[in-house]
Amino acid sequence: MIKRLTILLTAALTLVACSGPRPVATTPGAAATSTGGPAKGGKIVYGLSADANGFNPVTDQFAAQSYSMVTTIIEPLVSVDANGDWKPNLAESLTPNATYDEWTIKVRQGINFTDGLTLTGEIVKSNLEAQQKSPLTSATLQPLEGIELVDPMTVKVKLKQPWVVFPYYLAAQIGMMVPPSTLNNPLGGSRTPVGTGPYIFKEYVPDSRFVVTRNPHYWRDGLPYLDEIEFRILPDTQTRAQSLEAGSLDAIGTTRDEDLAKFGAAKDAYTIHRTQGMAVSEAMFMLNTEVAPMNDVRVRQAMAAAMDRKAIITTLRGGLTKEADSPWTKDSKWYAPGGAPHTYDLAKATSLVKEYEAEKGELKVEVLSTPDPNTMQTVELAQDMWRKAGIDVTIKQADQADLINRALTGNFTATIWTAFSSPDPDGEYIWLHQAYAKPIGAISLNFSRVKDDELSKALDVGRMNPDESARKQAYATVQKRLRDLVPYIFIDHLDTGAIITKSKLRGIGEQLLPDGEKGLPLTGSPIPYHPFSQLWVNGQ
Amino acid sequence: MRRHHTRRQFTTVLAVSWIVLVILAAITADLLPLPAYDETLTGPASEGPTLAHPLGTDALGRDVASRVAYGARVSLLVGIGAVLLGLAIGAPLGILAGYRRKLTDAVIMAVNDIALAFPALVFALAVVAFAGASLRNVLIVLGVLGVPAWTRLIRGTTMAFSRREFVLAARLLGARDRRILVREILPNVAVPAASYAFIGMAVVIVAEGSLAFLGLSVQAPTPTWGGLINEGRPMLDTAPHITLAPSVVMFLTVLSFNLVGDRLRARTDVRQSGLEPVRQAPPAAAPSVHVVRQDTLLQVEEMRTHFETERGLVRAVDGVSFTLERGKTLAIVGESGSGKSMLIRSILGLLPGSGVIRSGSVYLDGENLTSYTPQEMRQVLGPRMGTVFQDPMTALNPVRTIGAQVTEPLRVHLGLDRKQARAEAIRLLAQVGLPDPVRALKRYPHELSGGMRQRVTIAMALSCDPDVLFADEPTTALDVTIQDQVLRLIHRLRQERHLAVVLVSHDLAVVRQWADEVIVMYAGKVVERGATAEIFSRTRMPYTEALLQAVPKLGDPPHHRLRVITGRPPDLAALPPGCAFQPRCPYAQERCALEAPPLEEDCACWYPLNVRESHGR
Amino acid sequence: MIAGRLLRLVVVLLVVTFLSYALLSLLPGDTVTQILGPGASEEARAQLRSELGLDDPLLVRYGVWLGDLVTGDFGTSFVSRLPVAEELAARLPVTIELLVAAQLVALGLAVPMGITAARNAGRWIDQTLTTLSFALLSTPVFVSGVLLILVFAVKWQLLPATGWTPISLDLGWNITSVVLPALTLAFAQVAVYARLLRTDLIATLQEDYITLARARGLSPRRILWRHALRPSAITLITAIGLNLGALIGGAVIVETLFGLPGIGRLIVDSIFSRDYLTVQGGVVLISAGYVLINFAVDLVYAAVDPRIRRA
Repeated sequence: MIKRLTILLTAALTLVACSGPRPVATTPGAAATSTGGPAKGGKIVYGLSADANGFNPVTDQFAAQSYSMVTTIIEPLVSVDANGDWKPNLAESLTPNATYDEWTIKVRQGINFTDGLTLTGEIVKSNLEAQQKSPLTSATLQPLEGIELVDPMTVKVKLKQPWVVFPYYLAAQIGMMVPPSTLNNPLGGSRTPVGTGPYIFKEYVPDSRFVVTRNPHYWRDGLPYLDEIEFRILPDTQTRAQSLEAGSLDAIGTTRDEDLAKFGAAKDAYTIHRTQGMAVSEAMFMLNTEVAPMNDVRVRQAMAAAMDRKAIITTLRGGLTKEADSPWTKDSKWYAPGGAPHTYDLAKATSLVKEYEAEKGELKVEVLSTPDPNTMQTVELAQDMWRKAGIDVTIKQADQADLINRALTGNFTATIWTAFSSPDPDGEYIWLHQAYAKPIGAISLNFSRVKDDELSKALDVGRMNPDESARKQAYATVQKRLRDLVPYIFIDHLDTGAIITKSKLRGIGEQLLPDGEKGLPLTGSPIPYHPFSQLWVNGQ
Repeated sequence: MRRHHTRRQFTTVLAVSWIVLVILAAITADLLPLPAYDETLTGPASEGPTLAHPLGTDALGRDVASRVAYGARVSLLVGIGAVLLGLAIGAPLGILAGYRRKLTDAVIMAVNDIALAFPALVFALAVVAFAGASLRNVLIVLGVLGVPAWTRLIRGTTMAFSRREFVLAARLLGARDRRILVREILPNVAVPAASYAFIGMAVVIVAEGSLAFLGLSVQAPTPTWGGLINEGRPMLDTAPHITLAPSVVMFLTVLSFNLVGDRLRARTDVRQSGLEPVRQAPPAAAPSVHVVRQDTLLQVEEMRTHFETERGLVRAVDGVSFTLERGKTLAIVGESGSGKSMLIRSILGLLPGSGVIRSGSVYLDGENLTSYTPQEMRQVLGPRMGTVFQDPMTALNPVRTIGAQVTEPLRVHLGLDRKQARAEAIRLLAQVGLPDPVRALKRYPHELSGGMRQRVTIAMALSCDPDVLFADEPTTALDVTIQDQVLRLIHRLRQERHLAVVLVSHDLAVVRQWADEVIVMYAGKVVERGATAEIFSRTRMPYTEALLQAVPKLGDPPHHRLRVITGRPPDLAALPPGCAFQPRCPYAQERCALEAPPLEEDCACWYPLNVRESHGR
Repeated sequence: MIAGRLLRLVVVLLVVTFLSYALLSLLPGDTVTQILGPGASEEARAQLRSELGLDDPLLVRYGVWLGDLVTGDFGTSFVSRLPVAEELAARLPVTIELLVAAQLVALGLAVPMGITAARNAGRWIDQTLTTLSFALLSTPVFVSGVLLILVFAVKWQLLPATGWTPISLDLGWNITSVVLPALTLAFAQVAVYARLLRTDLIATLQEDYITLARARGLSPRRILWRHALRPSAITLITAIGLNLGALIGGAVIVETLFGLPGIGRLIVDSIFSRDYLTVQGGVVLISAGYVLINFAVDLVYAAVDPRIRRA
């Protein structure tokens, strides 16, 4: 349950961002070369860390585990391929106009909902309109102006401004298509999801299990392979891993480096699939740049310089993760190098602290943390590092609801945080742009309240300029400004999020998209998810 | 026996030492030659015990020993603080409710009910989420959650004591409530409260761990034992020492607390218990030679019963011998604590099993009962020897019907079936003069009066037609009019059944009326014996004289206890040298303090009364 | 008698639910954020807040909730948007089964332990059992649960590690799925129960009527079972009644560890997601359950000890 807090927290922040990283053909550690072809049939039990609040993409906030369950039944218009580029899924094509403020979506022919209706432009339009009205997405879909039905199988999305990566947003909750029955009866759809997907809803016991069975009329020929999938909700990471060992489960999601080490050692019996690239979220300390002492950039720089990332990684991540100095991983095309101030330099930190204290008095900082032991340990380790630089840090525990509310209203000095797992940098727009920074007390999606023209303009360029090199340039500026201003002290890229399966369970990370491209293996954070239509059991 | 005793003392010493050690560690946690509890990376993370880190390091490379020591401070503070807080609120409420009863009780218990019905979890979560996780808040939460239980416990104990005679007496004498509460009730309530406090502490220390699991305990990086265990749990299979160290320390502490609590309770509670009969001590090196008389019904030789206690060996019965024939009544008299009742229990083999040394022999019709196995002895108890105790209130099992209790020996010993046993029980109850015996069978002891209950116990004692009836102060707890009826009943039954009766009493008037022979006991020894008339007319032992002088006079109010003999009854664990009665004896001379007088010519005294001239000692 | 009980139930429920309502309203955090996530606009938040009635003063909200409750309406969960009654009804059997099974296991272990310890008070076996009790007592649920899974599920593969099968689905699997959770939950109880029984039994064995039963030549076994056990059970029975609240606390952890869809987890998750009506529903259930169980305990008292019947 504690775990769930962290997961919800991150999931909330990656609301629109649950798609995947960039080009990785095969996941490391995967003993993936299947001998013989995929076999049909079989049932698997899949351990998840938390339950979903509901299964209706229009009304229920989805976290990573919600996607695991829902995407077996409800599919999005868009998918992300192994290169990290968006590709049509339920849509046949998505075409922008020249100025990128109009997107024409053509719906694929011959796709039926399991309740019998055929997916049409009309249904897509109602779905998108419902999403536009949904309070869940009101901030994200702010640029959305309206939706028109062009012909029975085509809709046109009109935007208030150019939005070059709009389709990425349709790969997540916003783009997931439900039948009119769900739109008319949101609560019903929330409990018994209906969609076009490879599986049909069978049973749901809240906080216990979610069972789906094969959709015999699935629109993609020959799929899915499995007859039945049971998702089992097991909030405790440790007993979840034990259940896999005991044979009660065929696969689990985890973020614990202990699990990666332990199951990684038994290569024959288990296969590990880790997240990579853009989908990896970053662990960081988020600083409130509006309140003292964090409104002094020297303090933020000092705290960043006092942080020994290597030590954190070797102690708490089993040496598995990579140090971070940017919201994007070094292997992504958006990464721009430039370590400072995220280079460990205790002397510099100490002198900055001295400088500040000479001017403004003793430096005292309160850091918020959710109370689960893993998170706490990171904060405790950092606390000791800061102390060595002369910063007096106290830790305050706040449960997830309290913490997120404090972040929104600016009632914090510094907090541990995980974010930035969108497939495209534009996914982080609302968290970084100054238009979303509000004064203390008001709801501000830009939690750090960093207000910087240069940074915001670069984000706008990234959103509106279709030229990739211009976008790269823009996001390089974003990273530079983030390093200058230090609203976040990045720790590491949290790529310990992984799915561990028994070796006989195959197909994770090998799925093909409807048009034949290789799909993105794993998406989402902290525990990743993946499509289930092409999973199969070896020796079935 | 002795080994067992010393071992128990040894474990207590161990437990106390451990608690002292933990408390010391808690106090000096900052001074120990260990890295600070929150200093990270003092060594490789999650490393097992080494010289530098005696208990290893945790996931952040912090010293586990240091964290456990510091955790002791927090956990003990929480444990002790929460219990004290619970007691501070719960004890006054409980005492008030239990003592005042009526409206006060109703109101307090209603509030208590509400407090208990309030889900503890919601309370803990809400308070900690609202007020923040800190030592103070955790302590308050756990303390407050304990209040209802304390109130209930203290109320129950107070109720039990406020019904006791000493409290009632004090009330009747017009003592102020506060005085009664402070002087009479508080000390008695304190004992069970203290022993539960230790269990309570253990429970609180563990409960803190549960709060830690839910993320509701003290602020990191402050360690607590529960928090440490929770932190270490994910590494249970790779670095078990992180979990093990605090677990073991917590376990030992909780265990020690309880052992000490148990010992406290044991010290204040001298009663002994047990289901198994006492084991006969091997015969002393040179057993006094005695002749087994085949023609005598009951012969007791050199009966000794000693208890091992904290304060030393208590010689409750110290070498008592007597014989008894059919149709006779032998009275055993003496102050309370002189060993009368203990003698009866020794003869019957009813003493508790541990800490008791019994020796001597009991012959029934020449058969040595002390050589009997427990199973053989059970065939004697009931069918051959019947027993009646002082207080009919406690002599009957409160939760079983009269019928069940009276028929039980009939079915066990005589093998009667349910119907026969019932008929026989009715007959027996009628014989002892119980009106409406058929209805009485279905009743519970509390539904009968004291006299009726004693009749029932007599009926039970006689149900298997014994040869000897042991009546241990059978009338003391009864009204004076009933006393006489009951004694008459025993006498009548003795005549009818040709019984021998051993009558224990401190009431010499009763003895004079009903006994044929008398044994006077003092400090576990027989100090004088003889025919009843002889004892009363020609008293030799000064103690007997003192007893006789203490007999109620005609002018005394009814149901009057023995007048007290000057001086205190002897401490059986530390008897004075020489004659045990010498410190209280008005006739004592130098010799009395040096040598113990032997029992010669049925009197143990260096300077007997009434015979001084003739013997010229 | 019955009317008095009902009145008490009503009073307890009123006070408890009001207190919990007030307590919950003090919690920091915002229900609306929990439902909509941080990405919602200010207007959307304000609208939802007024829809849910979160702007009303505490007393009004409580009054409305209470009014609905009287008509049997527990309200609707903010988060799942399902009727709270439905959510509770789905989970109640799980928790009840867990608690009952845990009590049975606890008593099944504690009664023999307590008796053995009392019969041998002070001897080595008593001391061993005491040590064992305290080892059980001082092992937190989250450790014993993990260890039990390790032994019974991972090493011996005798029982499923986690998960829940309802009775309605398969009785056999249901039993296997409740064994480890019940055992885990029972462990700490065993220690407490065994200690209570031991203490009371020792006290009973000192009673005159026990000595007299021995003086009647009855066998130790008979005395123990027919004479001593029943009068010694009072405290134990009280403890069982009082323990319910504590057990629900333990149940949360066990439900979390073993993935059981029970009430405890629902309440804790609902507190964390500020889903107040669901919490309130749980509070009603627990406090009513407490009152009813203690009513039952009183009945058992009377059966055990006839002296109480008169009072």
